Amino acid sequence: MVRAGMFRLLANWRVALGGFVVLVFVVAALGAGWFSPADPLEQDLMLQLEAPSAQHLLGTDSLGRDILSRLIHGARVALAVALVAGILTALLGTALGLAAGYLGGWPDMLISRAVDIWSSFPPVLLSVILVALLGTGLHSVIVAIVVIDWTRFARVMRAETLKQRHMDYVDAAVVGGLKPGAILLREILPNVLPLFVVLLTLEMGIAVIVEAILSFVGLSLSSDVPTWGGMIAEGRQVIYQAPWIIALPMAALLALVLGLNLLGDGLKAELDPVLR
Amino acid sequence: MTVLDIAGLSAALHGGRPVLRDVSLVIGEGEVHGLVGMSGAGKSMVARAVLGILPAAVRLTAGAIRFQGRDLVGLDERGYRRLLGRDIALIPQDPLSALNPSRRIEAQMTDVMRLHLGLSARAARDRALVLLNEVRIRDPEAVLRRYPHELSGGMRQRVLIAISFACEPRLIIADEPTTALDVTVQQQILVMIRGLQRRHGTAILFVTHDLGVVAKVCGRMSVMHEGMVLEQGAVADIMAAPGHAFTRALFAATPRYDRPVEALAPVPAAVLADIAAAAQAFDAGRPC
Amino acid sequence: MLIDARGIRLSLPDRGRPGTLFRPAPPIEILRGVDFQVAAGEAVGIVGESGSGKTTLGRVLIRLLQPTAGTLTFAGQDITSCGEGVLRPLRPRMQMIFQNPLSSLNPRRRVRDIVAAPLLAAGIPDDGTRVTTALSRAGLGRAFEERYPHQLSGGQRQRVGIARAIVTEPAFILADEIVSGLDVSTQAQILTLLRDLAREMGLALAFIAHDLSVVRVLCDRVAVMLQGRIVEDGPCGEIFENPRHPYTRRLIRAIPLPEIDDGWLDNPEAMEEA
Repeated sequence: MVRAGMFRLLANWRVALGGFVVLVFVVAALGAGWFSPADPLEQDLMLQLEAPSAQHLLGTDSLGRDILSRLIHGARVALAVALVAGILTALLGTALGLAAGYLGGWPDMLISRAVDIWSSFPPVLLSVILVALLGTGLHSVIVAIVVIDWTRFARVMRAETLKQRHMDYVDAAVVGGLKPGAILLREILPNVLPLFVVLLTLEMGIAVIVEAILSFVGLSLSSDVPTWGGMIAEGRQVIYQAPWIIALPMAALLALVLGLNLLGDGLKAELDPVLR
Repeated sequence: MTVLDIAGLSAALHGGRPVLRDVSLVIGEGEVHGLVGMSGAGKSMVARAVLGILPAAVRLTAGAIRFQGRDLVGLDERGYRRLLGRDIALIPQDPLSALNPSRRIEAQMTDVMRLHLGLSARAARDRALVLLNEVRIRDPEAVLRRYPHELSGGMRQRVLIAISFACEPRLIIADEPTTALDVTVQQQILVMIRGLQRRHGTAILFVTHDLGVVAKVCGRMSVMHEGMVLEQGAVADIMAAPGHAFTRALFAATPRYDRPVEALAPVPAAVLADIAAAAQAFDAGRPC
Repeated sequence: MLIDARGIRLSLPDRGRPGTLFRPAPPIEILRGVDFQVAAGEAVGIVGESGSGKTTLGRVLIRLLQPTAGTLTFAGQDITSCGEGVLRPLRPRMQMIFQNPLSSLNPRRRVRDIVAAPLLAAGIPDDGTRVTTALSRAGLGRAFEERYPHQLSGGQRQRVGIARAIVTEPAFILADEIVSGLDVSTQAQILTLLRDLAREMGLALAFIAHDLSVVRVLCDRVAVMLQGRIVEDGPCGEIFENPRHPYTRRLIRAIPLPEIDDGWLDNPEAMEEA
C-alpha cells in the first residue's frame, strides 16, 4: 500500500522534480563536511576572484574562499531555517486557524482581527525591526519569520476549517455523539491536512527567501558563517569583475525555492483522494 | 412534416465503450417527444448529439441526425452557430448556471435576437417584453433590469423559456427543465411550456427521468437504457399497456401517492441483466 | 410520545443582509410555532417546498439547532436548550440520515470507520460485528468496509449513511430528503429498505421530503409545512384522499402522476403570474 502510494506520488512530474531538487540540497547540507572540497572559511588572498577551475570548481570569492564549499554550507543555514521556521509557523498558524474556524464566536473574532492588523504591517520592515530588537543570529531569524508569517496559515486554515465545519459529515459526527475535540482532530484535521502540507512547502520557500534577505542586509548570522544572502551581498560589490559570484548563490536560492514550490503544487493534486 | 429524424445513431467513448446504440426517433412538427430513462441511460447524450455539444471523449460512430431534412452529423462549428438559438433552442436543467450572473436579464435576452433576427436594440427590447408577457411575468420591465441572482428559481426558468422561444425555433431541446424546481412551480413551468409550444407549433425533445412529467406534456415517448431505445410509441398507448419489461419495471419503481406501499418495487436485476445482454450482443455485431 | 415538540420557534440571522460592526444581522423567523409529535415506532413525513422550514424543523428535532422558543422532549426528557454534554448520552438513541450522502461521509475515512464512529463516541464496545451487522442490514457486504466514500455509487453511499444511523440501534431516525438525488430504481430500493428496517427494529422516523409520493409509501402520518408553520397534519390516508387545507390540495394536484390526465394542464392555479 505504502509503496504503491509512493510510486503514484512520483509519477507526478512536479512531485518527482521538486522532490529531487529539494533532496539534492538536503543531502548536500547534511553531508556538507564531506562534500565540500575545501574549508568554506579558509582564505587564500593569492587566489582572489578566480574563475572556475579544476582546483576550485566554481571559482573563489574576493577573499579567495572556495565558492562551492560556501554554497554547500550556505544550504545548511537555508534548509535549517526553512525547516524550523516553516514548521513552527505552520503549527502556530494552523492551531489558531483551526480554533478560529471551528469555534467561531469571540475566539474567531479575536484571531481574525489580530490577523488583519498583523497583515497590515510591511513584512520586511517588521522583520528588520524584530531582528534589530532580538539581536542577530539564527534564532532571531526564525522568530522573525514565525511572528510575521503565522497569519498566512491562520487565514487559509480558518477559511478551510470553516468550509469543512459546514459539511454534513461534521453534523453527522455531532449526531453520532462525538466530542468537539474528537471532531476537530479525527474528522476535520485529516481533511485540512493536504492544504497544510502544501502551504508548508510554500512557506519553506518563503522562509528561505526571508533568510536570504536578512543575510543580505547583514542582519542574520555573523559574517563567519556562510549564507547565500551574505554571498549575494558580497558578490554585488564585484559584479563587474566576477559576475558568477553573485549569480551562483542566486541560482541556488532560485533552484531550492522553485523545487519547494513544485513539490507543493504537485502534492496539492496528489493528496486529495477525490481529485485523484 | 418531420422536424427531427434521428436514424440509427450510435456513439462511443474514445476507448471504444458504446454509449448510444442504434438510437432512432422521429419528431414531427409541433410534436412533443419524451425521452425517459435513469441517469446514464444515454438520454442526455442524444440531446447533446443534436446540439453538437457531445463531451470531448464521445464520438458518433454511426447514424444520422436530420434536422428539417439536413444531416447535422459532421456539421462544423460555424454551421451550428447559425442553427442554435435560431432554429434549434435549448431549455437547460439548471436555471442559475445557464444565465450569466454578472449581466442583466435584458442584455441576455436581447443578445440572441439581435444576433439571429438582426433586430435593433429597441426592437429586441420590445420583443423581450412581449416574450416575458407570454411566460406570464407580471412586471416585465422590472425583470429586464434585474440580475439572475435577484430572481427566484421559477422566474429564472421562465426567463430561459422566453429566451428559447425568442427566435421562433422549429425545435426545442428541453433537458430536465423542471428537475430543480418545487412541485407547484414545476406544474406552472410545464403548463407554460406546453401552452407556448402549442401556440408557436414548436417541436420539443423533452428529456426527463420522470414518467409523470412525460404523461402530462408529451405526445410520444422513447424509453432508454444502456444507450438503447427499448420502447417507443404514443404516450397514451404506453401508459395504458407498457410493452417492454423495463418500462413496466420503471412504472413499478415510481412511487405514487395514490398507491399502497406494497406496489413499489425496484427494477428487477433480471430485467437489467437482459438489457445488458442485448447491449453486449449489439456491440458484438449480432442482431438482437 | 417519543418526540414531542410544542410551539417551536426559531430565528436565524438573515444571510442576505449581513450586519455591521455595531448592529448584528436582523434575524428572520424560520419556524413560527410548530407542534410536532412522533410516537415510538411511527413514521411521520414532513413535506413542504423549499424555504418552508422543513429541514430546519428536522435539525431542531435532532438538536443540531436550538429553538428560540417552545419545548422539545425526547423520551420524556426535556432537551429544548440543554448542552451537548447532556445530549451526548442520548445521541445513540437519536440518529440522522443526510440528504447528500457524499458530503455527509468524511471523504478521508473508510466505510468501516464511518459506521463505527457513533459506537466509539458512545463507548459501546465492538469487535467489528456490530459494524458488519449494520452494513449487512443496509444491504452492503463485508467487502465494502475497506472502501472510501468516493469509491461507491450514490445508492451505496446512502446505504452507508443508513448503516451509520442504525449501528447504535436507535429509537428515532431523522431522514432529510434522503432519496432526492437518486434514480427511481435506487430510490425504490432505499425506500423499501428503510421501511423494512423501521418495522424490524421498531424505529420511529421523521422523514423530510419535497415529494409527497415518496412520503406516502413510507409514512403513517404526514405534516404539511408552509412558511414556517404546519398547516395540516394527520394520517397519510386521510390527508391524501381528503386534504382540508387549500395548500395541501394544491400540492397534491401539482404532482404529475404517470397516467394520462388532460385536466392536469388546465389547473387554473398553475396559470398564475409570477
